[in-house]
Amino acid sequence: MLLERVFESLGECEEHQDVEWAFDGQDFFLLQARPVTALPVYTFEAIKNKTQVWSNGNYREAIPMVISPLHRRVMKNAIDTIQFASFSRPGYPIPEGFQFSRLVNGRLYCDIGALLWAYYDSTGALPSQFNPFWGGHQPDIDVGDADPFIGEAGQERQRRAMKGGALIMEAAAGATGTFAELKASVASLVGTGYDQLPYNDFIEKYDQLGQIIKAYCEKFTFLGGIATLPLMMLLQKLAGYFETGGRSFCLPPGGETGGRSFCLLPAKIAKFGEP
Amino acid sequence: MKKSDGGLFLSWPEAFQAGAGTAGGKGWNLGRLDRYGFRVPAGGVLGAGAYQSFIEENGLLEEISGISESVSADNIGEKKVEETLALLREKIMAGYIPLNIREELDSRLKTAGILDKPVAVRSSASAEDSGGASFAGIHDSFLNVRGINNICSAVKECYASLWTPRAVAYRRKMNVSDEEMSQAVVIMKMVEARAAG
Repeated sequence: MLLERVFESLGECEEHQDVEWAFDGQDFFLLQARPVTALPVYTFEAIKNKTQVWSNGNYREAIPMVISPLHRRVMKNAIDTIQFASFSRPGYPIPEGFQFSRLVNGRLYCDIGALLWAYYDSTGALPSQFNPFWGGHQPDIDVGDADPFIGEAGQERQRRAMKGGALIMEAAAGATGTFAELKASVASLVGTGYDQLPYNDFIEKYDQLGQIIKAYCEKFTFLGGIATLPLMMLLQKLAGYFETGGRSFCLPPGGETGGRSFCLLPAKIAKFGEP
Repeated sequence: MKKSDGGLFLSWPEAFQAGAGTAGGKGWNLGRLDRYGFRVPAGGVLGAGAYQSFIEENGLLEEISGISESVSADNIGEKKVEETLALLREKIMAGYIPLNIREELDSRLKTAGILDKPVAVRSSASAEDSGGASFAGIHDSFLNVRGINNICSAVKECYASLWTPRAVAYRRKMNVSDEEMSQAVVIMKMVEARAAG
């Protein structure tokens, strides 16, 4: 318990800590804590010898604020679920222990090299196509220039891409039910008197909220996909009118989920808004 | 003799504010633990500034920059290099802790209530215990040290432990330059442990 608190406060829930402690019969004292430096790197087999690239592109707009480990914990149920589901549901295995994102000084970063690789290797999406869609200024990773859809691996990629498409259709058909379910689950948690709850009950409610978010986000992954294809077509059309060199457009957070009015700006103009 | 401006010895909250550059990795992490409400033993950190003024007042600056230039990862195993390092360590052990530092140690440890108690004197180098390099077990620590004279001597031992072949070799391997290294020293009460880990 004590060690977990050190992991949370000094390691921001990311860096494991080597802790020295002593118990004098009454109290526990901490004599030293330091980050463990010799941990293995978990990533995809094919890119394990490549330099890791961490980017806050996309996250920086979606989650612009500094987040606490507590906040991160509930958000893991959203962001990490979406990222994992987009690969595991179409049948692409994610290596054990692998994490797409991590906190650095309270801000969320994505292992973009691994994400680019995973999109390429699972469905044949090229880094040069995915990067502008994702946002940010990270470099493309080198995947060679062979056709991603040839050979046995290529067939697998085609099969997963089609499976992804089918999951999107399925999500679209079930959308009304999904939203109703979400509303009902949230309503079951909304109430008053939370300040009267004993700690353990409060934590239980917190975990319930996490479960609701998680269940919804597994579906949201493909619900969001409904808008992805038209959006990419729109971006391609617009790129013909604005000379952005094929680079990214600025899209307000939540834009790709549909249901909101879009506000698209070519990146050159959007840059004025950046710090 | 110039009076200490008080910035040489840091309480745990001061160590937290000062950061790893001044309090060293170990000292700063202890400051953070204290800040976040964990129990750490009574004590504090003799900051890196004290090491700098120790080196300057004992006229060891030139010798150290000579070592930084001449000792590389390739020649670290050579007998001559080992002798040069041993000589520097001897000079550090023979050096004197400047009076203002000694006085500040004396008064601050008294305030912390641990001047006459057995304490642990532990190296806290500036690049130590960071995410990039732990330096685990590279520098020396001394347990059950009692009295200001023994504390001062243990502090010098900590300073000297920056200059063992092992410590220098580790820095060369991890690409940490000698200039980046400064030695703070954690001094804290020994816990009469019934269990530890």
